[in-house]
Amino acid sequence: MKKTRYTAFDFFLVIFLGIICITCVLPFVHLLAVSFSSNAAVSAGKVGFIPVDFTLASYDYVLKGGKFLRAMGISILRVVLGTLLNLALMVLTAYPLSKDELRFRKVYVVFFVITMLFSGGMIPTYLLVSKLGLKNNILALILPGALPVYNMIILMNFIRGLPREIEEAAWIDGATPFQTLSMVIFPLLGPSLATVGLFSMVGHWNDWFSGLIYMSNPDMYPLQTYLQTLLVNFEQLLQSSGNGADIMAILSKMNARTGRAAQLFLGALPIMMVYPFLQKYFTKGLTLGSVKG
Amino acid sequence: MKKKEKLKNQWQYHLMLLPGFLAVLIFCYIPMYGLIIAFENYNVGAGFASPWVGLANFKYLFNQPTFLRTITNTLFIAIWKLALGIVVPVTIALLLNEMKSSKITRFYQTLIYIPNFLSWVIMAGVLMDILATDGAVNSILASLGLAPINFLGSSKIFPWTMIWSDVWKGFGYGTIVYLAALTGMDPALYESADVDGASRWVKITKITLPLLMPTIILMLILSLGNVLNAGFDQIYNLYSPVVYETGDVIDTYVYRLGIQQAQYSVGTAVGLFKSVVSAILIAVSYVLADRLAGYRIF
Amino acid sequence: MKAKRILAVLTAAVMGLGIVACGGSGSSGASSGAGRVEPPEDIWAPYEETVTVTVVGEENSGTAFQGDDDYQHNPWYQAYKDRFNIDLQNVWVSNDYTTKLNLSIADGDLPDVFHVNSSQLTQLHAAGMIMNLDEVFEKYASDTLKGYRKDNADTWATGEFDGSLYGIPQMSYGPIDQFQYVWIRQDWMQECGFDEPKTMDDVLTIAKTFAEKYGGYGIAENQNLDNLMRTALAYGAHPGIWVKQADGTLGYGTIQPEMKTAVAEYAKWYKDGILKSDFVTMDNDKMFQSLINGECGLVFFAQWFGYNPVPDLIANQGPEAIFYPYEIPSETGSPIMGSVTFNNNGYVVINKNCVNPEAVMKIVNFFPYMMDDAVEAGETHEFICSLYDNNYPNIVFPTRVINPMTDYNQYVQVKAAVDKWLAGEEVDTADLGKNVSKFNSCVAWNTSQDVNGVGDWLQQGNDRSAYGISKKYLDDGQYVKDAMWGAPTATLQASGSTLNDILIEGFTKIIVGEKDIDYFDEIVQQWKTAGGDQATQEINETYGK
Repeated sequence: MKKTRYTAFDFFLVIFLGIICITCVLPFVHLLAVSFSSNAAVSAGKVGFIPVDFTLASYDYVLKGGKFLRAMGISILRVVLGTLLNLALMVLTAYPLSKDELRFRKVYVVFFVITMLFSGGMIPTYLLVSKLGLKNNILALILPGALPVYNMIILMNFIRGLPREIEEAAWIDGATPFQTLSMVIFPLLGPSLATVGLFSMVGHWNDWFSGLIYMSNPDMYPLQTYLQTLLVNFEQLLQSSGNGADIMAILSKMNARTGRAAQLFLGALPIMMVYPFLQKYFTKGLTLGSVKG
Repeated sequence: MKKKEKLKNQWQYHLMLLPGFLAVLIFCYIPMYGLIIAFENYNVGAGFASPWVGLANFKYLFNQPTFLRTITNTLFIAIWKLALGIVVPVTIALLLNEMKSSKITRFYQTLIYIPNFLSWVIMAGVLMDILATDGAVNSILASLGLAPINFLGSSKIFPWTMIWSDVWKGFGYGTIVYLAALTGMDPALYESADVDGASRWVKITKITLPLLMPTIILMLILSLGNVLNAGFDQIYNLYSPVVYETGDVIDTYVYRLGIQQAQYSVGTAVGLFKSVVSAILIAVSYVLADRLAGYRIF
Repeated sequence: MKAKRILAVLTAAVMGLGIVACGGSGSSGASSGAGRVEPPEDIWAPYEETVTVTVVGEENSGTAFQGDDDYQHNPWYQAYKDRFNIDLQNVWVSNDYTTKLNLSIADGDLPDVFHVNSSQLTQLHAAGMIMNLDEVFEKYASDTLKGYRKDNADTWATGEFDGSLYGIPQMSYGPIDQFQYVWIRQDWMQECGFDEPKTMDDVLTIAKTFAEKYGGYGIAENQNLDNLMRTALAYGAHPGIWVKQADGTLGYGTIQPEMKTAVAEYAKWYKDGILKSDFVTMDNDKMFQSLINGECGLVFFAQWFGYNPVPDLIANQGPEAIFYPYEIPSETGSPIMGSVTFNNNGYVVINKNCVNPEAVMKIVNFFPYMMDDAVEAGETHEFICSLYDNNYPNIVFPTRVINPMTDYNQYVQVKAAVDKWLAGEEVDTADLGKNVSKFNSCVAWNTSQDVNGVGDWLQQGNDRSAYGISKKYLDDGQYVKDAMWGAPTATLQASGSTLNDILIEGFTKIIVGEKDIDYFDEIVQQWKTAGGDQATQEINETYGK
């Protein structure tokens, strides 16, 4: 094709959109700078996007005592277990529902879709979880949302789009539905499973509310719940840090703002790390889920 | 259309469905039974066998100015979020589509998508820091000689802070959807327009936008069910009693009433009210999606 | 349609399941495992076999845990074990206590003993989930605790239903903490040659002079108008409490005509530049910061001003910049009346299913004993300090009942000891019991200007101290008691802070000159329609007799 010609408008576009993009990133850069700066520099308003009077005191403080790391461990366990369970149930449910000839298919679909419209609400759900003895148990964070219906339907639509002939060949060879699913269909689900799986992962990682409700023991809080309680209480936490020499050394270099910034940054870090991977599949998944007719 | 053949081994398919069926039955349907406490004066000693009061809880609610206020607040915040949640990503997608360098486009896409993945807990922490009266944003305003803005503590400004921060967090998602729709368009249309010597502006308004319309309508319809969802995670983590007047929404109200103030019955009644209205809206929007955009979700 | 019928059957089946699942096992956190143990006759004697009592707690960040101590392992819990052979077990400790407890109430999963607020008390009583304490209190409460009940009968009545005790009021450290003062910077005051202000005109003269001479502003205020509520006392208003009106009925203090005068005055001050032009953007910390920076030398404030911001202020401006508290004067110079509110931290309740309520009473008895009787009973100094230092009394918040005379008695004792020390006499610190730390910090401030001691010094050690002024108010009966002597009524509870927010917002508009003073009546009208009238009616029904 012919050589691209750049006009003033093109430059304007690059700059204008660039500014918008920067607003999406700068707050985090600022936060990062704050978290690595000393309390004095932050209080004096000297910190912009580069750490001033560089110190790791805030990170020392946040990671000391192991509460943060334990909460992160609980979150990781939850993401792993929750995502695996979600994927298993989604595949097992989506596959039969993709078959128009399935008896009672309509009933099943209505059964599942109703739960997208109605819910028992916070209090009755809490009472049920409590009666099942799941309080203070990681299962309480996983089981209530074991089957994400919306994502299951995305998956079902994807399976329906697969060529039928592949399955029929397997049937002719005498494969049972279970065998067909695991040997033939499952390997074809790659990109769509990655998409819904990543939806699940991010959902599990980011959820803070069920931790707050179902874990009466704060030692069992997943990371986002732990962070949420600290957003409001960080100042008070600092005051109760005791008065050992080592802690005093840390406290002299930090304050609630730098500490909170460090917490937030550490809380965001895992997602940021898998972000490039996530983005690739989310983009695919979006076109898969919402634009498909 | 294929002819319907008999499926062999039907029972195995039903067996596959069983785990999902049970999970939904237990964790979604059983709690629905608990909705009856919306019609009772729930007494923790008596549990679900509490005295029946019919619609009294709903009557009480609709006489509460604080409840009626949450409905208008919810609608205000949610509708603006819906509207801007379409206008902003469409605009950005159109502009990104005009960019000549696909490398920069991809790079920009990566950046604007970042906030979308972070939880509202994290985002709330970030916003509280940069929007504080002595935070980064106000420092910038001050250096420009502008008066400071109390983003989170003024009841006039708070809803707009919620609306714009939600748009800011979420517009990357929409942008990518629209951009995907745009890249799927037939280049031949543009080439013929080029032959006619059409300007960029004409191409955008006469070709691109009309082609994008079905996707826009679809996205709009699909989000209609969210008119009563003003964003619990976001507002709960950012609001304070000072801004209840304009910032308290149905979900935060349910939480405060139902759990923090232990009015279980009234809290459940609000939840039920919201569920019913949302269900109607979702049902309507899915019918609309089918009719207008030819999109069937199941 | 077939599908529809199947759905109906299915729904019915689910509903049935629901009943079974939810009506079933009502697990209770009460006394896990341990059975009934007969209590010893003597209320101070230990059990023969270990008794386990469960409790839930609220995290209090003021507690400075030492070494490996935590909410479960600490001197208090150790003392229960050593003295009574009682094992007090935390089921959970949370910083979101009310929410967690409400969830526990909803599913009936409650510990043996716990702390509740007044609405939870009413609810639990109605549900029959808490114990009638009449018998166990009669038999096992200590004399000290019974004395509290006698001396504070009106407060204890709020924990009773039909004459029976269900919730033991936890009370507070006392009304001595509730008074307000005008705090004035001393170095400036001396330089300008001012004496104690006798009228509000004197206060304004001081404020204006400071502003002119030191280039700042006159009187400090924050965006919540907290200090207006203090200043208003000078004009005879009692904002925030319910007062008897001219017609004999009860009304809200913040909407009375005296308040209108106070707001009008404030608006004048703002116009004259006595208040900072942008105080509406300042929260309390910001306001403190401007005092620390030396922008202002006069503020209407509470008794804890010496703890925050004075230490930072001294660090920044030097020890001469210390602020002293003065009585808030009236316009004419006649003494003003302070406000005293019903101040009860909540109630201790016992689970109906608790098998060893006597053990709970023993635990409850222990705090008043340590508080009031320990020195006399010959407890060692080390033991007392191990329980009281580092804010450790916070640990036992759920079972803590406080003598409302605590801070008053403490002031009398500490002041006497400080005076003795200043006169060069020997002070036997062992006699001071838990109050020794207050004495020590006053000494530290006086000998080495240790800023960690200045708070105690200004609160109670100095000749001009906050408690000194409060004591005079209390002794002379120079205060108005909140007519709402008990729990807030339903409307007040439901509306939270919204009613007050209407007033604050309106007052702010008047003060900054957006509206004139007649707008006051308009705001009051708004307040009334938003639920104020309803609340007033309830208050008159409940407390008006």
